[in-house]
Amino acid sequence: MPLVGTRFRNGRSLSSAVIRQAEGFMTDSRSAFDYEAAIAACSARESQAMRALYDREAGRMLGVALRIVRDPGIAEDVVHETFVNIWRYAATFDEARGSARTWIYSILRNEAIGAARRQSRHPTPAPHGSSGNGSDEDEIERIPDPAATRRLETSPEMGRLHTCLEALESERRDCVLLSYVEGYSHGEIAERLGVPLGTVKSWIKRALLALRDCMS
Amino acid sequence: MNADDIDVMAGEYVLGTLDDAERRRVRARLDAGDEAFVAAVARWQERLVPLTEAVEPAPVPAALWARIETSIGSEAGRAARSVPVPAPLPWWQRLGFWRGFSALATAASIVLAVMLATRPDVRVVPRYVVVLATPDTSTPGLLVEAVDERSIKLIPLATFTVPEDRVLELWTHPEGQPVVSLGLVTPGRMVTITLDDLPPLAPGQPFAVSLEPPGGSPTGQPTGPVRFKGQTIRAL
Repeated sequence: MPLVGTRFRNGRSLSSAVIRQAEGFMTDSRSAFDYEAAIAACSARESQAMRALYDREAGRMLGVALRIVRDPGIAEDVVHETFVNIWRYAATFDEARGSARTWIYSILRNEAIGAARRQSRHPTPAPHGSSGNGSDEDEIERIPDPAATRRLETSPEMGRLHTCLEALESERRDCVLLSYVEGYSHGEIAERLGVPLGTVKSWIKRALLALRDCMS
Repeated sequence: MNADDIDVMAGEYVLGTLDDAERRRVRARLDAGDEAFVAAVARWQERLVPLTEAVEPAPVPAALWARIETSIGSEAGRAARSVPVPAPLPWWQRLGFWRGFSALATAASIVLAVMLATRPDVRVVPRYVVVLATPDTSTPGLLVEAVDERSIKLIPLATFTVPEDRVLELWTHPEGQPVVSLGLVTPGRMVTITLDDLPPLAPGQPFAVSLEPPGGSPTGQPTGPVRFKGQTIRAL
C-alpha cells in the first residue's frame, strides 16, 4: 500500500526537463551518484547498493522526514520503513515512469505524511524532545521557523521550481512550502496564516495550477 | 472531473494536504490504475521533489543502519532460502487461517445463489466470486465478484462500522506471489477494482480485509486484525 502513490506512468517526458534543470545546479559529487543503478542493484539483492544509497541520502531523508513528523524517533521509523520498502519493491521501480530519486522521496514522504496523520490523531506531548514544560511551549515548537521557510524559497538547487515558486504571490507560495516541506494540513495552514480554511484551499488550488503552467 | 480538477487533486495528494477521506479516494483511483490520475501524481512528484534538496539534512544515528540491515537481512534470507522462517508468521501466511473454508464456501454458495436469483438484470455471469465473511462467526460482509479476468467488483452485503482511526484494506494472495493490496474499502460503497499486474483469478485464491491505520498499511503488507476473509469459488 505505501507504494500506491509512487507508481510512475507516462510522467517522464514532461518531467525529465525539470529534473535535468535541477540537476544542473547540483554539485558534481551528487550528480555523479547513479540512483537508478543503485535501485537496480537493490532489486538484484545487492545490499552494498542499499548501503551506498543510505550513505548518500539517509541524512537528507531524515531531515525531510523530521520536518514533516517533527519527532526524531518517528522520523527514524519513517526512514527505516522507506529503506525496507526500497529493498522490497526495488524490482517494481520503472525508470520509464520517473527518476529513481523521485521514487525514493515519494516513498519517504508517503510514509512521513502517514505517520504525521497518525500522530495528530494521537498527539505526542513533546516533539523535538522538549523538556515538556507545558502545552504552550509544545505549541510554539510545532510552529516552523519562518527563517527556515524563507531559506527554502531562495534555494538555488530548486532550478525551475524555484523560479516558478518565486513568481507566486507570497501567501500562495507559503501554502505550498508549509504543506510539502512542513507537512501542514489545510487546517494547520489556515491557523498559522490566520485566514479561513476556504481561503487556504483556494490559494493552494491556484498555486498548483500556476506551478503546473509555469513548469510545463 | 476536468484536467484542472485532476491536476489539483493529484497535486494536493503529493503536497499532503488532503484529509483522510480524500486521500483514501485518491489512493483508490491510483490502485484502480486510473491512468490520468497516476500520470498526474507522477508529474507532481517530479515537479516538487527539488524542494527536498533544500531541506537541511539531520544527523543520522549510528544504530539506524543496523536496524535497516536487520530488517532487509531477514527478508533477503527468506527469499533466498525459501524455507519456513522460524519467526511467527503473519496471519495471511498461516495455513490454519485459511482452513475451515468448506463450511464457509457452502454458506457463500447460498448467498451467491440468492444474490443471483434476486437480480433480474444479470447479463454477465461472473466466473468467480468471493464471499468475505467474519473469521469468527462467518457472517458475510462483502462480496467480490469477478467482472472479467482483469477487474473485480466489491459489493457490500451488510452494514458494519470501523473504528474512527482505522480504515479497511482489501488484500489478495495470488499463488506464488506475495500478498498484495487491492486498495482501501469504503463501508457501504460498491467499487470496481482493476487487477493491474496480477495474474488472473484462480480457484481458492485467498482474499481478506484488514483494519489498517489511516491511509492504509504502512508496510505494504497487512498489519492489523482481519475483519473479513474468503477465497474465490467458481460461480454457478
